[in-house]
Amino acid sequence: MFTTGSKLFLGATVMAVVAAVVYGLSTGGSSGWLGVMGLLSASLVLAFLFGVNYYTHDGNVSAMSENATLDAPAAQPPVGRSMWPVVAAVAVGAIAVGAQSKPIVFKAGVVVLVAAAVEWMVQGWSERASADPAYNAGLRKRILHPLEFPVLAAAGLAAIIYSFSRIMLWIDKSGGPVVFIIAGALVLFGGFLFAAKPSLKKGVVTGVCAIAALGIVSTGAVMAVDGQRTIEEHPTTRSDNGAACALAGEGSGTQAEVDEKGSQAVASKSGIAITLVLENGTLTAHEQALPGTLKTVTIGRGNIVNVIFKNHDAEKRRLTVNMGEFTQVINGTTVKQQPKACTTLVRGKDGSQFLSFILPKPSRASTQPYSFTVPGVDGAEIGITVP
Amino acid sequence: MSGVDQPVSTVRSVKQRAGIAFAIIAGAALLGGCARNAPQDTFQPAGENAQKIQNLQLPVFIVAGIVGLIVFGVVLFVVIRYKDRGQEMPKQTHGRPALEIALTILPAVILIAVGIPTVSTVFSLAKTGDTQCVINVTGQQWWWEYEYPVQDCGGVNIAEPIVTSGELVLPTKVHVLLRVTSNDVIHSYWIPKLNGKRDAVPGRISPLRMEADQPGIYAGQCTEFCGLSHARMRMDAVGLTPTDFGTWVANQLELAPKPTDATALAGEDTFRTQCSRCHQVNGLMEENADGTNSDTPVIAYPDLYEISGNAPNLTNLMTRTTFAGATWDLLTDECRKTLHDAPPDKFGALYLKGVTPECFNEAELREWIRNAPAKKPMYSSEAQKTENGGKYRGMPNLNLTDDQIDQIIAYLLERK
Repeated sequence: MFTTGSKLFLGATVMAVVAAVVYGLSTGGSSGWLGVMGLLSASLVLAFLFGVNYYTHDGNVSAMSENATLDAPAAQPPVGRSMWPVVAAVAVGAIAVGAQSKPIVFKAGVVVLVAAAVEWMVQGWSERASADPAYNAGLRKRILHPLEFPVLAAAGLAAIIYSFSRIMLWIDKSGGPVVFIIAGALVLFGGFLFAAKPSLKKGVVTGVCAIAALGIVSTGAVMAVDGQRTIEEHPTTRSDNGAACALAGEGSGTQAEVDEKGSQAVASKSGIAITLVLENGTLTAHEQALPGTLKTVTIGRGNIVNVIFKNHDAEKRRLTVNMGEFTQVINGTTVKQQPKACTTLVRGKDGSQFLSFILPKPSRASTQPYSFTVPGVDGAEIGITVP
Repeated sequence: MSGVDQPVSTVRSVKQRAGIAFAIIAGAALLGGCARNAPQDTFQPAGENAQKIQNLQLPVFIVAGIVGLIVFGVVLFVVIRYKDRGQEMPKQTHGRPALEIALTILPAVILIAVGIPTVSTVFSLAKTGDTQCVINVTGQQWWWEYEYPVQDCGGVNIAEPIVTSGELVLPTKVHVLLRVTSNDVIHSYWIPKLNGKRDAVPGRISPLRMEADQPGIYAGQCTEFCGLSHARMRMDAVGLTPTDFGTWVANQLELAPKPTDATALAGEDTFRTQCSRCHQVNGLMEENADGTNSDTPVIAYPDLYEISGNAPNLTNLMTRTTFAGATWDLLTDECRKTLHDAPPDKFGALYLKGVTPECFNEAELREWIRNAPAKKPMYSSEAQKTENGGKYRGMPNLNLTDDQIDQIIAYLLERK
């Protein structure tokens, strides 16, 4: 006979089919097809649940079966406690907090919630898969370990890498290579030791690795809280009227980067054509591979030119490239433009900054000469010739 | 039986013929290495740095050759001596420590013996502290530009920057430093008889030392694949005595005079309207309404039309012997041979004469002006211009008339 649960789902199935017919007829035409489809889909699901309940007798253990009262999965007591409800609760809390504070907290909450839900479901199912707890535990491992191991390994590696990056960003720039060399040497030494002594106990190897990992992560956490060292920003600016680049002090307004963050690129910095040094109010230029200093430099037309400006004076200064003067007719009006590119203000006493630019036209095309200048320092000028 | 033997005989005959043909080709290739007139022969150094490379590569090749011969000889001996003829498997042994140690130490010793002079030579070639002259070299698709900054170049004063292309003119016995870069893609600069090669990379300046011992022309070739006409991106280095170099510099610094010939005068107008958008001629002036020259110089704006932002400066075109990436000669075959075969003491005077009317290889230049992309593959059609963001990659076909071509050639013939 029909069980209580199966009767419920059978009735709901019939109701869903009837509702689909009524809804379809009342809305008419093709406009109500979405609702009809939804109700029919619901009826299919309900019919399936009806079948499941009917077949399993609502999951009840038959009072007539003595064996079932002892061995059936449903007759087994719950197996231990589960941490996943707590984890899920924490995740929900993180989602709520993250929704009002930082997106990263919200996203982490969602990830943890999904992971907790999967773990919880698999654990709940596996604990009742059979009457043999050992078999159930093995079943859980077989399903979840292929997921858990790679994810946990990736998370562990990410934590170590991120922690190490915090350490490197905290340490002074000159000390960074030393730390990197020592860390690399230790890893090499450890690897050599483990390889040379295969008889080392597994616990020793695991312990050493765990202590090292914990050391890196905890140190990284401390240094992340303390904050990274001051990293000098190297934006360069360009404008057609040259207003910002002509200032000895801070400019105002938005300034677009002329080299699209190329100033941060190691490749560009390693291809320096000219080094310009401001010292005692005098600007000098040194071209790569040429002896001595220059008061005029020759730059190839249309070539990308990378220069470094070094400020040895006490005041903050910027280097400006005066890219000549050109007359242009815009909407019938003759406009004189004096394009310039410049660094931001470079701190005094050995501050340095990179600048990249192109001079597409020869010097004789301009009514004003090309030059490097330092605004606010009279006579600090290096001529530029573009043949 | 004879019916069965016949095909075998034929097969053998084909194999034998193929073997003979292979031997002839291999022999010819081998003999080709003995050519003495190979213009890009790295084994014929003509400069200090090239000689340093030669001093290194010769013993290294000898050592490598001997090692190679020994290895091939042993392999050949083993293959023939121990060929499977159905004999019994020889006794198998494991481990010969003495032999293994010897075969480890011997290559290590050879590598150290090669490595020490190699490192020493590398550092020696990188030396730039004693530079006497600087020339900026810029590669672009598909030609080289040379720019001489203001300086004292080995005793010759360069009062104004000089821009030229195709031919690198340098004073002999002077330590010249090339500062090599590129305007578009990566190229590589190589004059085999004067030094090794150096990549030309946009945004980077790579120094390359170059000296020529004797006056003469030294051929080179771009050695980094750089697009459609990479094979036609050549260059010549021209060595001149310091005195002749001084004469060359003085000539290069002179502005182009007004043409005297009527056709050339018409050519100046045509050049101004058709060519000067990209090609600079120093001394070419804007024209007044009455046909006279104004005081305003004509400035080329290749940055508006070319991806590289550059086109060859033609002020002194006829002081060069080649054009279009040093691919075609401005001299007739006979005059070219005379110049290339000239003894060092007579070379300078001959070179400084430039392209005379009787030595002018007009046909090649005419074809080039008529339809450059047809002569040298470039991405410079109107359709490709659209693909390239509104700019050409190389010289386009200007669809000039025969009269216009005559006029431009007459004008260019006076650019000396």
